[in-house]
Amino acid sequence: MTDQIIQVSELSVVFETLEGRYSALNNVDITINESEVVGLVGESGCGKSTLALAIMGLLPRPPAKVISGSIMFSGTNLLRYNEKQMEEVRGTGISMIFQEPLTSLNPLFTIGDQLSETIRIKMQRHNEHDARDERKVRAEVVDWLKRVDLADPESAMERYPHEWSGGMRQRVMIAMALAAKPALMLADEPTSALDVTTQAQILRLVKSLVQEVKASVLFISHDLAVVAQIADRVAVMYAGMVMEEAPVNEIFENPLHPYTQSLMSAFPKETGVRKTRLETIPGSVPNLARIPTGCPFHPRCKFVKQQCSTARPELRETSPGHKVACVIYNQ
Amino acid sequence: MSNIDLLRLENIVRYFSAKGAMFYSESGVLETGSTIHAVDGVTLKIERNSSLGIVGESGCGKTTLARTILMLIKPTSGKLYFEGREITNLSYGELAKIRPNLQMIFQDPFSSLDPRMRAKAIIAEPLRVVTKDREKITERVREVFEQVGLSADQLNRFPNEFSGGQRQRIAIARALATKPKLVILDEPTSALDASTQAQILNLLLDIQEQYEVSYIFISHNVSVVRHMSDRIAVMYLGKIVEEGPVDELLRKPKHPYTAALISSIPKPNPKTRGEMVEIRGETPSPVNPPSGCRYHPRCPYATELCSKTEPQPQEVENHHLVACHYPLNA
Repeated sequence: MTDQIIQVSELSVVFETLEGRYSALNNVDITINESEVVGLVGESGCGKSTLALAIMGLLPRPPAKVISGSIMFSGTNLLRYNEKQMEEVRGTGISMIFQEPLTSLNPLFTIGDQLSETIRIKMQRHNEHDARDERKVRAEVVDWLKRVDLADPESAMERYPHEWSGGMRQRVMIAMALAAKPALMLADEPTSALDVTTQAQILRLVKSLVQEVKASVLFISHDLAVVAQIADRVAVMYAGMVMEEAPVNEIFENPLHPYTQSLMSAFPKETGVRKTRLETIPGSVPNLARIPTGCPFHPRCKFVKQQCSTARPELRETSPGHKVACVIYNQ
Repeated sequence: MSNIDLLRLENIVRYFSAKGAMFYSESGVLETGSTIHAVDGVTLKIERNSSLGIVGESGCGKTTLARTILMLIKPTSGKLYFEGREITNLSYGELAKIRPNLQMIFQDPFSSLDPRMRAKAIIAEPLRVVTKDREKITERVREVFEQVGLSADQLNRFPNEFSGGQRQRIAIARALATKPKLVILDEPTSALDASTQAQILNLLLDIQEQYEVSYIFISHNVSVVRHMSDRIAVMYLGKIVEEGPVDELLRKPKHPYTAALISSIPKPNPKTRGEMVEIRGETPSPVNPPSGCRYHPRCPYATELCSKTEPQPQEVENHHLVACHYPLNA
């Protein structure tokens, strides 16, 4: 048995607003093992980012409210932590990178300043007594900028975020997220704002650095192709629920849930006949304030059965490692 | 008449002066008051009832080219012909007569629709240029509204009452209202979810079949462009480096940049891992584009010739043009 880094069980989160109660996560179970990259896919509003923020303890409360569940990380339930304890986990325990690196970096400080803050905190927490030794901090900053393939790190340190391209800024974010050697990195659409050529560079970088520091990753994306390239295991979310979960090869070869199947056929195929009509999913993603009863996908599902509108299917294992929440597979 | 191309671009150039703006050149030197070479000599033609895809990374000049084709910005030099007639130097009034034929659909349906206008007013706006007849306008608005898959009882709604996909349908209706001959689509599905994207792409294909409209489909998503287009043009730093029939160009790219661009696209198949080839380095600034072939500093096959002489587009196979001294797969 491999070691579990984080175990999210039966997590439900709602947003209580003046317009109503939005149920963002509904009984979500997700486990990430040591040195594993788990891809989390789904369309916008399915709860992918809410899950990441919940793990980080960054949900805006109010309006967000955790109504049930637990997030077990190195033996303790993170949901029981107060802000000060959570602060200790962030960075050295769990770190996060976001879609738009420009909004995650402070425009008033140089890249070097921002990266050295992370490194200083790491040194303090790991009781490396040289946290105030500026030369050691600086050397590590330069080392990390080199590791993320930034040319001329000495002068790069002195630059401000706006002077850099999106790809370069995302490299710095990755350096900041991994410099403190966290056990888990949450990556929320880290390449969605980048060009394909830059995306290819960033994906390779994430893959190799994660192996180097032995971190596990929760890789959130709406792009199945990106997830296919980086994840070991994939979970598909819809309307706050995990619909299917399987090892990466398995889910692409043998997608079981009707939603996963539709999602895969909605993308134009590389070898398909041009200008043929693509398979579409009728309707649109449900409003989280009015999630359909039973299976949330049933109004759009082509295999819908009578019980789908009443009973919410549970995530069940159909073959080793392959779990699906659909009544078709319950027999 | 039918053998005249719908639209022809002859050596279109568009520079922007960057007075007061600051740029870092490749060597990290701050430069001011320079010229941005956004589009630098583009020759293209678009046939009737066909689709041309334009791909390239951000900043390569795709959107500037689109705006120039619509004469929203005047080209610095070069000529633009619509149905054989030069439109580059037409007066504003003369252009207004041609404009209903040329329409555009933008990427973000949240910013391209006026939040204070009702759906019917948004779609009626371009029609008011063509006719003053209110009844005709109302009738046409209703007609296109239903054609794009919206129901007539939603005509009085404001944009915020529609979802992203529905908004893009309104934008499509607005573009189609004047029965254009050419529609430029600038990343029309990048802001949409996968399931909505498929619906919009299908709609665009239906419309093309029915109305014989030509598309210029601009996107950084090569698989979407492949699906929608007959021909593809690949842009790099303001120039078209390769142009040809979709399948041939994607299967046997002749330009090293095209080859690299194609191989950096992730495929939805975990078995293709490790096949992605990456281009080293960053795209140079369009303020000071490299001498000779603009791709030479990043090209693995570059020689001295590439850094000195700019390659001209040459036909390597039937209707397949490439601007490279050493084309691949030749």
